[in-house]
Amino acid sequence: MYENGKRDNMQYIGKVIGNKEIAENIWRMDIATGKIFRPLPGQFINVLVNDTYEPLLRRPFSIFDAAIRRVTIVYKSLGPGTIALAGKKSGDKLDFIGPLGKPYIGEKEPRIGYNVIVIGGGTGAASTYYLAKYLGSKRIKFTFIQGARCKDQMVAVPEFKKLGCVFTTDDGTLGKKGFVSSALREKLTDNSTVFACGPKPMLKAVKEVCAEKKNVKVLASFEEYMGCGIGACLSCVVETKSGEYKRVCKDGTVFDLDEVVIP
Amino acid sequence: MGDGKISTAVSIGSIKLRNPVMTASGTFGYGLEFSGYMNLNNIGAIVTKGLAIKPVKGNPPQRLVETTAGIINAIGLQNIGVEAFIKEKLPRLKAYKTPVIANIYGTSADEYIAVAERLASTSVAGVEVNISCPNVKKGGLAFASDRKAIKEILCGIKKVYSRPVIMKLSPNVGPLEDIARFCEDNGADALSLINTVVGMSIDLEKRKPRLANVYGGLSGPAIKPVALAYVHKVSKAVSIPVIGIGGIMNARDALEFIVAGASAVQIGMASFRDPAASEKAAKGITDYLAAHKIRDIREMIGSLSA
Repeated sequence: MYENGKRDNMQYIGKVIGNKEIAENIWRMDIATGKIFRPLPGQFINVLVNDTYEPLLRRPFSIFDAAIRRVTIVYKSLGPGTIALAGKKSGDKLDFIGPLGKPYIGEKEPRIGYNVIVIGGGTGAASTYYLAKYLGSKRIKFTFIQGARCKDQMVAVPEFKKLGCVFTTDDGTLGKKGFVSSALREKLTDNSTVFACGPKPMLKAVKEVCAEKKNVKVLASFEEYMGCGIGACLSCVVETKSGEYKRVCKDGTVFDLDEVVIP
Repeated sequence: MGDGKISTAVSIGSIKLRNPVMTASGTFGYGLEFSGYMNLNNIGAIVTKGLAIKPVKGNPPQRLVETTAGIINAIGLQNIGVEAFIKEKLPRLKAYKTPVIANIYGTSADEYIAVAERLASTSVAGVEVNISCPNVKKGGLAFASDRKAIKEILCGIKKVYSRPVIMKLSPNVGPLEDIARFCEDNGADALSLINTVVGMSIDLEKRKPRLANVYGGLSGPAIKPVALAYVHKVSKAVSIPVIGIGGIMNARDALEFIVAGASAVQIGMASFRDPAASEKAAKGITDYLAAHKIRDIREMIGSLSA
């Protein structure tokens, strides 16, 4: 923070050190951060994709992996922002801010139950890889489940395999045929802690399955349309059960599913 | 800042700004959100998110959408309310030397006046009165061209609040010279313009509006030429200071507004693109003055050649 003139600026001018297509329209970018960068799982960076006003806003990406001076994102090239990003070459400079948002677990906790399940769906699953690595480094045992429509839409399969991941695909082209919710049901017990990241229908299904057992805590990372990424514009809100709007970028991205309404 | 011989200081009524760069309400939260990216002491003033007498929930999402060189927002004035602002935010803002201006709004003249009255005994340097939000049904735009309402709000605030009162004007009601003069005649200390321009974005495949509120306020580089014309016209029509707002992304944009007649400027959605945009614009102004051997920013205000 800049309070009292001290600098700990969260704006970085990084350098692209790798950017390649790893699955259909799915890209992996490695960025040298220059200065020290220490994110926690579930946090994200907000990237300025070009110097023109098209697109005008930054683009948020969850952190797929990180080391002290390196951060990796995995993204789907879909719209003007991610297409511009896919055009970056090694050596290009990249302005990003972060690490942003509340993580799945803090530095000192984890206050988590004995049966830990990490579940990801689609490209949203990117944040679960860093979480799984983090849990591993804390010697916490966990079940790791990843789902996608088909094999070609699955993110970073070799990396996930190394962490003992169970795969499900809607069409059966990789792992078990079916949804992640069925794989979750097989592993779920009372008092489990479930970490989830994926599209809203997946989160809804996860919530329903988790309600079948007692005392299951579900911590899910949310995605909403962001303006600033730092809690100022109030664009990326989700509604809480008490009827307030909370910011995904600042009060999240991770929320306890008991507290929020999934639209 | 920079060369000691260069003066960037300007005044808005009795508020002294170290440079003409302010933040625009709704784009800078309560200021503190930006302390990790810039030094809040390096800008002219912080203008807060619009404050109401009670907390406001705001509109359902989707609340914001990017358009060509702009964004459209329909946040619906979500805010923590004036009491929480005074208790939770203002004490932390006191750590900085920068004046804090509270943007205020209400759904009736009485509510506007009540918020101003509550702020009268605080360290807030002035209030900016939002009579121009396009995204709420009551208050906001409904008051933008209603002279009876403007008079009631402005005169009521002046009775309970002794520091400068800035009226924020909307481009959505047509020419602003007459309303600007009306505000001046009724005691406004300064004017800020323009608020966002009513806009809309459509998802063609779904044939649905992208914003849950259907309409929202367009801001960003797309509205800069519109804003410049309004600032130029209004600053010629009144003798109180005009604060220029609309698509200012950097020092050069800011200086164009100053040349057009603005005494100060507000950086809006540029802070979303770069959270340090306001600090960078302030530094850029000093650099411009140095490069052009201009010793006082005030020489540039309204200096447009005909």
